Amino acid sequence: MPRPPSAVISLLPLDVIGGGERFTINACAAAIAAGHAVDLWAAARAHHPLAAQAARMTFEFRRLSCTPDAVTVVETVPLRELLRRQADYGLVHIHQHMANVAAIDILSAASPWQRVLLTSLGAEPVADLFAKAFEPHSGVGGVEISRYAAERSRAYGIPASHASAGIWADEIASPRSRSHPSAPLRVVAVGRLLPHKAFEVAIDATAGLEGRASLTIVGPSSGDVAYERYLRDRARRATNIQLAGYLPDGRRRRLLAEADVLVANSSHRFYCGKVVNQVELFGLVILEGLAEGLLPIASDIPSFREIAETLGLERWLYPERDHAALRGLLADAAAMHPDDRATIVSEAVGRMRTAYLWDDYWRRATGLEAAAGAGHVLARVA
Amino acid sequence: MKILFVSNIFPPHVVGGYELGCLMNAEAACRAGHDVRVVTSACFGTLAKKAFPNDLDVRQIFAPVYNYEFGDRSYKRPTDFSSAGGVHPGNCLALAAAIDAWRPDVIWMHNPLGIGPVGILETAVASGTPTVVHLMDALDDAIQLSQHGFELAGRWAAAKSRVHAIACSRSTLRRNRLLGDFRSATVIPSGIPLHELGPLAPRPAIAPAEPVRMVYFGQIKSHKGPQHVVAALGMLRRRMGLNVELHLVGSCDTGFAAELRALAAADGCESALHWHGAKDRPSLHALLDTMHLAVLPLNENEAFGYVAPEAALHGMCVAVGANAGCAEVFPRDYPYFLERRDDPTAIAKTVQRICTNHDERRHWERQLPGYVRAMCELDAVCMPRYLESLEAAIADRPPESVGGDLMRRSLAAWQMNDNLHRLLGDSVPDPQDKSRRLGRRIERAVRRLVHPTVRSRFRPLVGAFRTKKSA
Repeated sequence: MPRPPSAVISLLPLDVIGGGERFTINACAAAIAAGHAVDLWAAARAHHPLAAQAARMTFEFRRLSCTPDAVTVVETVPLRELLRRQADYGLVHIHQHMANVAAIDILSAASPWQRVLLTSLGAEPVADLFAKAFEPHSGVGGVEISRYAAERSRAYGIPASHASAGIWADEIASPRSRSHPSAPLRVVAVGRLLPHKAFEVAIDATAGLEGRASLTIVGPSSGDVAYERYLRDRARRATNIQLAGYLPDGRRRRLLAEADVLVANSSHRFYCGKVVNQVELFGLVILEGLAEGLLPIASDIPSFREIAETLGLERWLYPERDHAALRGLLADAAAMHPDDRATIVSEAVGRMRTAYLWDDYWRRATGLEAAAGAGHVLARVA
Repeated sequence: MKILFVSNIFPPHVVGGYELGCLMNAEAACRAGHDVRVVTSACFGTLAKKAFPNDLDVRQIFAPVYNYEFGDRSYKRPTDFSSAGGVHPGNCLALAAAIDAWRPDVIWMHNPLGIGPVGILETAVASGTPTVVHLMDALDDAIQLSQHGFELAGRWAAAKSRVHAIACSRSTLRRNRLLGDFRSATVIPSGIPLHELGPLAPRPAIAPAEPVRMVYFGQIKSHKGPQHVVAALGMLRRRMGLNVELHLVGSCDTGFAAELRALAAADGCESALHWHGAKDRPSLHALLDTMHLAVLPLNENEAFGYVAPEAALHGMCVAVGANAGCAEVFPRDYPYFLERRDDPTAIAKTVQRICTNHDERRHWERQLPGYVRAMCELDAVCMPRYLESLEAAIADRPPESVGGDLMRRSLAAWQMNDNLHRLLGDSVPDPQDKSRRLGRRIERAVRRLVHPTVRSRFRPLVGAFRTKKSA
């Protein structure tokens, strides 16, 4: 009997490619790579998270086709139509289920013979309301992107396990020689210019290492003008800091390939004093840096710690927002011979292959074994 | 075989032929030697038109929320929509308990509308008991139109795909394939117990000096088309010069009766219109034996329409709507199908043909009873086929997990929708939304103001408009 197709439904649009969006598209690609028939649906735009039922039924969702080059729209239907078609799927995987109460509509429209998986990718404006409306049963469960995210889900009353992934096996660069031992340490920080990324910590840490290290911050604007101005002002105080802004894929990869260290500084406390309870559910950037052969140094937030512990990199964690501690780690890295750094990275990459590959993500997340003849990756987003 | 018979409305509560059909099926299954237990709802209102069927094991376990008596006007609370097209948890639990207590071999489901059809069907399937849905109504239409405040059409389709279906006509089956399809489906015409008809009297001949007695019987409601017959009566008498009487047998609300009287008065044929009111079956059959012909312009929404084959079994020529479900039990070359059942001119011409072409009429008066009996005789023809379908369903048990867990999933999914309504507050649908009923009010007003013959002239325009709009 043929296995019914699955659906991945993102409650947020996939028109801007950030970590969450990449996770959704790669999850879909992982299913296709495992030989499963899967449809990718995403909200056509960011809908009002608390709209009334009648309005929600008119929310537009797009069925997308992923090719190696692009994500293209196949059709656009209102939510009501999507809910009717939902019955055709054996498994429905909702991404960003705490971004909109439409997730409850999808759960309500699920037949008893369907499995529904929930994955939060960080957008959680209706988390409390979702938790109040949610009724656990054996057909639904969270498959969060990290152990930390799963624990948070369980705190909301949602039974959850976790399946992490962040890199395709063939994206892991082969080991290569890095900078000369006496050359300054080349540090990169990657991400959209958002306050919770705390790029200013990296700036402050590197500013005290002039001559021994240089920092390049790569990432598109987030639209937060005040924060971007703050970063520019701070970066101007030192000569070894560069704000590269958005870089096309190729140039970004070249830059990473030439760097030595990647810093991930996310913090619960923002530059302006604001405090939030959750900033990162995972640490995709750490895995991407590692795949390029960079030594990752990260702030000690739960999700980054989880990755660091899995990869044996706990030594390279620093207390969040502690730029002096980060400076110390950067100085240590600068003092190491490149080959020693490469050894650390190489060991971490070995562990990453067993824990964080997209290639076997669908099996780990859904329990569905790969179909015969699977293994050919049809679509992915780097 | 232990058959659990599920239907929302069951005698003593009766709306029309549907409920009587349910009773006939349940009784015939008992006569065929099977254990039958009927689970139905505790109806309210004035639907109790028959005596309680004491010879059957009937349990009134469901709580009806939607009141059939008042149609759309009965929508008062948001929960009413859920009973018409969603889940009513109390009824699901009641059904699960009934299944658990009696452990039937098969569930024979007739009308789940009004008791939370999606939940009822899911509960039946979740119980692991083979289930056969007997289609004598357009369930998909009703469920689709009731999706207010929730969207469970997909769940309905998913549950349907796990059950078998018996449809009373091909058109009914087609109309029940709007939302997914059944695991298997077969068409078996609704059965008529011949022993209830009694000995049939010879058909009276049409004598030149006497008026031709034309009968319309059943529910006298606008969607059944009696107004077209009244309009045709005027044409037959005034334009075609035929001495024809129309006998109306059945219950009719006073407003519509006044409309029909006004229509007849406008055509000057009030004296030819005879009202008999509702009759019990022996009286009805005795009356039918005195009639010359029947005119039953049932429309395409009529899943079956017992009246037409009943008239045919009386040896009467019947002018019958060509697209009604019951038309399928008439011979293909039957000459008295009404292709345009709402066109009084077409009805009048068909009646004229019956009245004036004596040889043809006599031929069909002889042929029809045997033909219809071969298709619709309940005990000898239909029930064996029904039982065969039930046994096939038992033999084809789907190999998947069943039990309380699936039911828990069904109820939990519904509960989430309920929770969200409560939390958001503002998204509860307004059952008093008058716009939903506006179309019907306009239709009624047009019917009052415009004579059917005039309306029929505009039909091509209406058709063109519909086509354009749908395109």
